[in-house]
Amino acid sequence: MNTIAIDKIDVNERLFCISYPLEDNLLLASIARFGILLPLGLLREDNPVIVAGFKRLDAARRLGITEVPCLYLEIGARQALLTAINDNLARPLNTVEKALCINKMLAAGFTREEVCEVAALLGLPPRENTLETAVSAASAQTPVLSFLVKRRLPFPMVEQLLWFDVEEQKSIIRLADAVGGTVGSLREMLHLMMLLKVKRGAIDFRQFEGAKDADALRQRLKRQTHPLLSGLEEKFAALMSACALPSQIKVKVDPAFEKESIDISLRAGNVREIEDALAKLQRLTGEGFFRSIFELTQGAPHRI
Amino acid sequence: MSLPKVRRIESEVSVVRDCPGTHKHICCGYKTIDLVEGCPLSCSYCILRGYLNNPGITVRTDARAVIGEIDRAIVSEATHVLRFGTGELSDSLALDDELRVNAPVVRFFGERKKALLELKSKWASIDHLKSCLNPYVVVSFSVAPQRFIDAEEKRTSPVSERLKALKKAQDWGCFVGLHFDPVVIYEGFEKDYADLIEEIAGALDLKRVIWVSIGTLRFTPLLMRLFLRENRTNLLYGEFVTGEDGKLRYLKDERIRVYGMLYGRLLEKEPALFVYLCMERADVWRRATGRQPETSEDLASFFDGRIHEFYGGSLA
Repeated sequence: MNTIAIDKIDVNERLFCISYPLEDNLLLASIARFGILLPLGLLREDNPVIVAGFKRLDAARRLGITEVPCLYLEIGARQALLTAINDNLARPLNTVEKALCINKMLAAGFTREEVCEVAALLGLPPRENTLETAVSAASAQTPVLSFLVKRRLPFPMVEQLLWFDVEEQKSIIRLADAVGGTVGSLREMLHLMMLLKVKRGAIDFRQFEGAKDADALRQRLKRQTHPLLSGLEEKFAALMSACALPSQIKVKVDPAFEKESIDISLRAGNVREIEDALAKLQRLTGEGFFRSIFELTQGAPHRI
Repeated sequence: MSLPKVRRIESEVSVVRDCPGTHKHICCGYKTIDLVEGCPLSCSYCILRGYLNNPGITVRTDARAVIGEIDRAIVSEATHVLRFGTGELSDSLALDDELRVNAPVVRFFGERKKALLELKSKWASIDHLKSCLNPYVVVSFSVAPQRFIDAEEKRTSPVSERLKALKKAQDWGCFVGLHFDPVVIYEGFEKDYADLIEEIAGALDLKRVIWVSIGTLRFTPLLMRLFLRENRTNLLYGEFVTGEDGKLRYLKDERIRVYGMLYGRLLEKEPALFVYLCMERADVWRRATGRQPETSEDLASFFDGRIHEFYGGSLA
């Protein structure tokens, strides 16, 4: 095994780098304790370029290490890129790293079929759309890349986010960071924002500022994209609130207000509770509560 | 119409199928004949964009086997007058002038006289079939306001040409059908559809229109993603919810409003028109039209009644 002084390596040459981000605190701690056990892979002895080991090199520099173990690889550039990808496949790659693999392969002149084969290895759908998304993602700005990694967005959601222009992406990231939420809630938020932009041509993000959580943001968005459905939901919520149902009686409607029927369930621990619940339901029926709900689920008759 | 890459096949695979319809909605019991798979018209909303992977066209060339299969379906049906169509996985007429796949089937229906064949299209080209068209073939066109066609059905014939072709078919002794499908809610659509119905009433003999369907836009989640990516403002103008079949469709109130408006306007022009809703719920039928098919079987019986009005006892 050889060793090389770090200042002899062109650390700015990232041609084969598919690691993002380079900072890795676990690796840093390991190298601080044990040193670099696995040598870096380098191309060209006279003017060395790194092929494998970008994270190790970054950790070594941060620790003030001046010399690292290395292996010189006698291979061409295309083979070097495949080596870099293969070297990283042992660990789970994040979305940005997967995008970098694809983007760098395309830039290196691999055929789209060859790139699709690697996409499949990376767990991505091997199709044209994936390649397009990867190219866009690889050239996104740093805040976007950080967001993709931090929120662990899968590729279809990356495509959703990158569909927006750069300023809109910034606004979406700011909002998403403010409200938090799961990947699922972020997916719905992106979907509703896309829909809103298609419907309106532009989005005024100020109207969504101050939403206290992901659910509140979703509701604000939905009022814009689905005003009629939101209206039905609000009427239903108002009816439910006004009738003050005891907790053991549940009334549910189809979330899309498609089904005419409504579901009524009750939970009882004894005969007395059943009698009380039925008396309550009877009283509500007499007061027109259920008629009002059916007006929401049945839709208004319409003939000209 | 320029011919895309065409693959001609003879196959053991069945070409006659029940129209897939859609889960938990009322369907009409249609039978499809998949003579051609793939369509060159490329309408933006086409459900085939989500179903067919192959950009080419596949044509079944073994007419004798296809006709044998149709005949077996007719023989085995005991209850209803069967209605067949070739416009499920393709447009019935878009490539027919070049491919000439309809003629043997059209002739068969004229000779068999026990079932109806519907040629359903957006491509106004029927002259090549003049010599074999017969009363057991229903020539049908999808119709939509020209403004919508210009935006979303760019490769199809203008609606005026479609109506001329329908008139020609009526003049040649065929009954014709109209399909308002998909009806799309966009800004000003009500007036456009009112004008369209006026245009239709002026162009056709409505007493010789055997059926009219109305279906509002519905699509799979996959198509929703395509519509968003392609910025389809017309298609996404309205408000969609996910139905019980997993497809996106307009909110029920909106569908009832649209169906009610079109149903009313059509019946104003010809009270005896037979208008049905495509893939709809029983409650929507009831509220929009006042008619009450509770099941797909009920709707198939409605069709039997209509066919009896037009053909008397010569069918079934």
